Amino acid sequence: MDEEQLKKLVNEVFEESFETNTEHLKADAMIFEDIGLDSLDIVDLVVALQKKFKVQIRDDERIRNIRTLGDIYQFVINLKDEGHIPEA
Amino acid sequence: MRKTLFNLIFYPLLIIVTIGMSSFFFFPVVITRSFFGVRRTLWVVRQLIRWYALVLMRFLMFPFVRIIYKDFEIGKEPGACVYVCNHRSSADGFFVANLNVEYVQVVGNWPFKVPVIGWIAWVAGYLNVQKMSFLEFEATARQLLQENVSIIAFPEGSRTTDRKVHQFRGSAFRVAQKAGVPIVPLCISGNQKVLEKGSWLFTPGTVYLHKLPMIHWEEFKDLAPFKLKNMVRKIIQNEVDKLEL
Repeated sequence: MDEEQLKKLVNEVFEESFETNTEHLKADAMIFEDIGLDSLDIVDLVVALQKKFKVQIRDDERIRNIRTLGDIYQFVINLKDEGHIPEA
Repeated sequence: MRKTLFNLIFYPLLIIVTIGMSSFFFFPVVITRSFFGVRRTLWVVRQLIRWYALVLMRFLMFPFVRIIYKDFEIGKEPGACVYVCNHRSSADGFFVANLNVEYVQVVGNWPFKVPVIGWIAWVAGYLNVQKMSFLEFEATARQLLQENVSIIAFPEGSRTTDRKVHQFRGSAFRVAQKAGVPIVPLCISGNQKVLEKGSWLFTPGTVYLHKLPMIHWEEFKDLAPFKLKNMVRKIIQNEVDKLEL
């Protein structure tokens, strides 16, 4: 799975779980201000990401630093590089 | 000139009415507490807060500020509800007092810092979301709803200065889903001109407060909280657009 595929899967999480329009899914979109998630939605996001990528991230401290969609892309790419995400 | 006159009349009267009514409130609250217990006392305190707000809105502001309520005459909702309103003025908590139900408001830290009013809000059990975890908030709000006390929330969190209804926080919506109660959207407009953000000076004008159709629990019980809050945000935004375009 390459980086573009990972980003596509992240976007699918937003489209499926939060009905976010595709045009809002840009790397620089702020997940709170632009996409409209709140702190409780982040819990739902983590659950949806875990399900999509079959990975446990609930206790990962890096989640606290996520501000933009690009941060999520990078977080998922790092998980892949670290071998946490199984190959499709 | 009219604005200056309004504020010169309003603020001295506000001080007199606040001191007068809070002194007057003391006795019925003590009597109720002595004979009827905590629950009845809280009901009395909340009703007194409503009356105080109605005196401010209907008498002290008259004739400088006209408040036009729409669909408030339909009558009470069948039970406790979660009311959600857009937020553009620090007086919004007073404007919604025309709801003829027992309610508490969801507020941040600052209303509790206002002399007299903050203390009374604390006694009435107003919910300070900035001091509560979601679990605490949820438990307290559900308990209130079970006691037939409605919740009024301003889910934008802070006052907005433009026509856009900003992103909502989802706590109140999650509580409505879990408690099995309906949501009633409220749309307020014109308030941003009457008391602009950053100013304590009132400007004469007209405030519109529309109660929009109730959304029954069965309609949203299976929706994701994110979808629900955005659905309600769009409903309120559409009403703002109708009023202001």
